[in-house]
Amino acid sequence: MKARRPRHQRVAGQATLPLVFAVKPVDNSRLRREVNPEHRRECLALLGLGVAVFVFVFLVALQHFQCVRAGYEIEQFKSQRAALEEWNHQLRLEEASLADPQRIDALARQEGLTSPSPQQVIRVGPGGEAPTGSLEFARNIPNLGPAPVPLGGISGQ
Amino acid sequence: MILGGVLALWMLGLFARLYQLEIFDYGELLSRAQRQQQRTVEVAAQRGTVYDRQMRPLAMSLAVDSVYAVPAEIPNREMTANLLAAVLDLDQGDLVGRFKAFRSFCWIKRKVSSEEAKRVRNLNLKGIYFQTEMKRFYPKGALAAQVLGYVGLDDKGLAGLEFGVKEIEGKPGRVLVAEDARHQSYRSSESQGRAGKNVVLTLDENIQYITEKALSEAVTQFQAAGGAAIVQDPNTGEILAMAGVPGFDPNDYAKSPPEARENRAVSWVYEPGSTFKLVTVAAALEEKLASPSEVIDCQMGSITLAGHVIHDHKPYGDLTVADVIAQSSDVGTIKLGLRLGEDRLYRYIRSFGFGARGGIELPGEERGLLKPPSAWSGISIGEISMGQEVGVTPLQLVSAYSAVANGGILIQPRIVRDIFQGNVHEPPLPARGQRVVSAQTAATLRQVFGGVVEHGTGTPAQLSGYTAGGKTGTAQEIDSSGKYSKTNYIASFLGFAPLEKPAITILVAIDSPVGAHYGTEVAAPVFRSIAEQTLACLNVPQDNPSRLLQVQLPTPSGPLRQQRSNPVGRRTTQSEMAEAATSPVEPVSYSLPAQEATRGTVILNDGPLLALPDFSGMALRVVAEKCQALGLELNLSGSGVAIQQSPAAGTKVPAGSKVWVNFER
Repeated sequence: MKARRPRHQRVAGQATLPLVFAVKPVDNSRLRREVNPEHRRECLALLGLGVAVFVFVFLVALQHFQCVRAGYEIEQFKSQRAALEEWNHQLRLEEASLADPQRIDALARQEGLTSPSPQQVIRVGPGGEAPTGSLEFARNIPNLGPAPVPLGGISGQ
Repeated sequence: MILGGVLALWMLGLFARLYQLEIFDYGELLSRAQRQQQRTVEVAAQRGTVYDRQMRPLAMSLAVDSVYAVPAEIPNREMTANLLAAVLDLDQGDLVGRFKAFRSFCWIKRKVSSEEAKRVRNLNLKGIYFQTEMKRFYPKGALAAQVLGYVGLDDKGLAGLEFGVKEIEGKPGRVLVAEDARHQSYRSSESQGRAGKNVVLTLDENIQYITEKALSEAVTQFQAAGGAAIVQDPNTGEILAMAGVPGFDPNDYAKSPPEARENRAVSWVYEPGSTFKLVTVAAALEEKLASPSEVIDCQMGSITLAGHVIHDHKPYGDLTVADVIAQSSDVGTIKLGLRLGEDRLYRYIRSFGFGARGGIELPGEERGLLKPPSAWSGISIGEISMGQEVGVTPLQLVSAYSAVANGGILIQPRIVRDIFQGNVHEPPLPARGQRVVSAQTAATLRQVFGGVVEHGTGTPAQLSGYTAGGKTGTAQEIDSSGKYSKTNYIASFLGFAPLEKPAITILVAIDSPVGAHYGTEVAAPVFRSIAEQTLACLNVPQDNPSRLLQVQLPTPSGPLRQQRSNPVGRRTTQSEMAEAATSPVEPVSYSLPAQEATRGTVILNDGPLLALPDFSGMALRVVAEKCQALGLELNLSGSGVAIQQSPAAGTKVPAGSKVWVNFER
């Protein structure tokens, strides 16, 4: 089988012909593409629909993710509220424990305080009805030095 | 062509699989996803808070952690058990056993402290989880423990009000939580449980403490087996204090013996002895069968009834009816009982509330022991007249004395003042009352019982600054052989003060005191201690300031003295305080109303009154700021704007008062 000659290889004994390139002017400027308004409207409508669908999907997705994010925040706030409520309860419990009359009594006695007898207690506020004799005692108070502090159980509320 | 066929088959398979997942298996896959993403959390039922009459909490619930394990998820059981045992103070072997016995769930320790929970969390063990549960706390410890009762591990009331008032209990709820892959919740929906209602008691924390302390000191002093004391407002039937010794700490009730948890005030049935003579003399006076000044021959202390000789504790001759009670003559009282006859005496006993439950809101109330006249023996009328052959509870007795104190009406005793949740209040129905003696008879009886304290067996019950009336009682207990004991007595004192317009009725009963056993020696001083402090606490005006009393005052020996003598104001050191606390107090006796008494006078200045503003419509922050500016203590509930307040707007209150404001959105 004979090998094929490459195209660019000259054939022995043949003359080389000059190649002439000529420009053929073609004027198609007069040609105008026919615009189909129907088709164009369809295209625009399709494009508009696509944009609308995209915006809708985008908004839905955005809303969804915002909801999810808000859900996380709400849950976080809920747990914060629960923790604060619990803390509030704990503080109330602590307050109640600290106000235990037995504890206050022990602390007072540790400080050297004693329970005054009813005769020693004089109420001079608007709620009190000090007995007549007590007023006499009260007048002499400045000469008698500092009075002991009343205990919680005696002073009333 | 072939490629097209393969692609078509692949697409077909894909669509078929999609169809199967989306249509056929949809339901199952959805539920599996939900199981994976959603979690149902049980919200424990919250019990209501129990308050005293001044809205100070006595029992409240807090959320705490309970530790549980999923043994199948634990990689190394021995090591996990070892670590948990060390942190939670548990037995390691027991934990390993539990891990082997259960596969999917087992409790490690329930209701642990916050420190324990923190330590377990820090261990970060696999297969160990936490569940939130509610735990009941009693911030005042043993105070009013027998009244409050206690709850079990499952938060159910087991005794006292916790058991008796069902409204305290709540209903558990559920929360459905949606979680992401990192177990962070992003959505939750609640099926609301119902929180328990709050209960306001008639008890006053301070009066309760005064009562418990005085009773406990007497029980210790006389090495008694126990005791009970009740303070009641005779005009409303409200119980201001109800104490029992021995007591217990409801925070750790399992460590106390069952008898310590029993509320003696309502469940202790005993023979009242002479304190029961109230019924006999009241019936005799009401039926006009006797008058206080009428003289009765007490036959030098002995009377024979149905062949039995009954002796007085002292031989008395002629005594007036008033003196029969003042000197506690059994013979005189029996003679009054005989005048009444069996049926009439029985009718009065019943009408004074004996032999029936009083209807207080506490569980375990006994009706006592009372036989109908048909079952009485020949001696019964005498025995019952002087308080034997009849069993009563302390609550029945105090209610009977309150009837005399308030003018003759037996009022149903009450311990629950209000039940509320948010703004909805459900106070119990007004206490029932029935007239048992006329107001005139009641007034006469008060004078008769005033004589007991003034010059009779109850002189140790004389109050400083107040008049008082009452009756001592010394009853023999029944021993194991069914006979009256020669050694065990119940010493009691029942009284009211002030005499004309009683503000309180007090019962003190001491079980088996050692050494002294008479009510005069054992119980009357306790009455005095409780009454004096309680009347001062209630700010009851003194009606007898001229009484000369011996007042025991300690010499200033503590840090106060040191501070007074130290004008520089140097702070007392701890060692000085310890020394002061241990140093003996030297009592000094002197008489009132000599003006020296003012050495220890305490002036309580309640300060000027301020009118409460109208908070309605104000935001929480504004209300809080106003209260702070006025020096008021704000107790709030709800959120939003203020819709309700207590006390009402315009009410004049001293600075530092508590104000309750409810808010709503």
